[in-house]
Amino acid sequence: MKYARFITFGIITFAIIICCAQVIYGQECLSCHQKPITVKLADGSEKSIQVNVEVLDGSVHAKLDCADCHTEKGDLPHPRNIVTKKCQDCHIKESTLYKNSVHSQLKESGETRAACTNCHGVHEAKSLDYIKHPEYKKLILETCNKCHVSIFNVYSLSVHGKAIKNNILDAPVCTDCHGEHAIAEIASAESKVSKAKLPKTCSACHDQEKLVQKYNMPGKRFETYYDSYHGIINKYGESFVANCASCHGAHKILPSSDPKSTINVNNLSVTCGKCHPNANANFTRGKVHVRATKNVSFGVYLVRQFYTWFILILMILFISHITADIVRAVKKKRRSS
Amino acid sequence: MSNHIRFTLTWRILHILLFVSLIVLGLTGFALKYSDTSVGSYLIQLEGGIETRGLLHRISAIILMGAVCWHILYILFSKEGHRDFMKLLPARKDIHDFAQSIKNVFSKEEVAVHYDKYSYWQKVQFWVVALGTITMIATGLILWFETASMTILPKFVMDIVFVLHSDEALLIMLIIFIWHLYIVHLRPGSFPMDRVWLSGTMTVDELKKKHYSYYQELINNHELDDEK
Repeated sequence: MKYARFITFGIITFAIIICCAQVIYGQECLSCHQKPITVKLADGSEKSIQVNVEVLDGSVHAKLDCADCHTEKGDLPHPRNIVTKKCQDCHIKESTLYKNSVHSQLKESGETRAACTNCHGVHEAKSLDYIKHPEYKKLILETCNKCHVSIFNVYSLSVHGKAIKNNILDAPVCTDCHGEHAIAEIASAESKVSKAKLPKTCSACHDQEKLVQKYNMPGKRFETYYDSYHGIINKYGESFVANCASCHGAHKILPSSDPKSTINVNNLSVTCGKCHPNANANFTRGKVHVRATKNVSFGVYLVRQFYTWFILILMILFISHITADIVRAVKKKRRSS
Repeated sequence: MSNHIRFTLTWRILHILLFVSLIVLGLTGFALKYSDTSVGSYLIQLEGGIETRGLLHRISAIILMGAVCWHILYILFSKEGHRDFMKLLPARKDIHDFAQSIKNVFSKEEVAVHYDKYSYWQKVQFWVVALGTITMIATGLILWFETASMTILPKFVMDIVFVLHSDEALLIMLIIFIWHLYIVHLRPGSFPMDRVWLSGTMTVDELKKKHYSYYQELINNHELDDEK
């Protein structure tokens, strides 16, 4: 017990030294990198090597040490080209997904704007919890807009874009339809917006009772599409038939009430006419998403009801008659024997 | 034992064309109707994919339409065909025959029912399938040439045509597989198969037993003797 005080004192002192060393080590880098300094690159251009501490503190990596990513340690001044640890060394799952993406292919062919840091930032990398933040979806739009400007402009005019602008955050932004790390080329079968996969992607919202009711949207879009000839043919791998985007558009989706919408009554014959030559006003007389219910397609409902009952009653009559005939034959045989 | 010619060669060929095309139409059509079930997707795969399925369906439809045209020409312009068709028309006798055969089920004594060339159940069978086939051909052609059809028909009518085609098909197939197969082949007396669809002939004894009224008519017209 004599030494207990010394041991406690020793542990506390050791802990304080470790903590200070941590702070001092970080401070050590920042003592230079907090200042607005630049370096000259090989091609003659200047690059800022200033670190914004506020940004760093707000990132998911705030608790990490500089040297956790910038691994080349050494005496000061440190070597000119510090080796930076790769994102994939820690983020294995995401980097595997990314490797098959269209962005990764672009990066390999020399595009400099399609790497991890181009979307996530360098020091500002946000945590996954940030998804709950109301600005999150808007930030995604800004991020993609850095390269995909023309698409962003079209999207902003769409029903989805306007909803996000009005802070209706259930509306989809780029990543909701296209995916994130594994984002693939539209023509590729892997793409979330490929001809085969698109109906499933759209119906993540448009076939969901909760959302359909909340925003008063027409529901059962998935079911009614796959009940149609278009849907069945698409399901069996023929891609020449219409999918969601063929009629509704992709980025510039507008509600049918909008006169500019591809599915507005006045534009339907043009939209259908893309595949059905001579499409006329007849294409507008009736629903495209047909359901055999009273409210949606009354004629179809009526015919289906008629046949259901007609077939049922006819079969009962026929089977009764067959049974009666067999009974009669059995009776006859008994009488004769 | 003398034989009576019940079905001419034309009828027998038409019958084969009809059932072959109907079976292919049924298999390819129901593959589409039930494409969301495992049986449907199996059938589609069996039929060489969704495109080939459609092609097979249309080829069989052409065979069916050919058979129907031949059938109509035969009953209009040939003596035997016309005579057979007149025998298929509903008659007052059918109601009596039906009432009697129902009575036979519930009464102890059986009174023999004397059928004409076609009994009421054969007539029901013929008319349900005949009218159904005409409906199927009409709706089928509308759907086949959908672009041309839609210059005249609005979308909601096309939807009704689609459901009609799909549900009428089910009705026809059920009638054939439950009613027709029973009354022709599975009935006590014919089981397991009545060969008349192949040979076209029936013994006079059988004719007397199954279609007594018709037998009487042939005797009275001295027609049975000619056929020996």
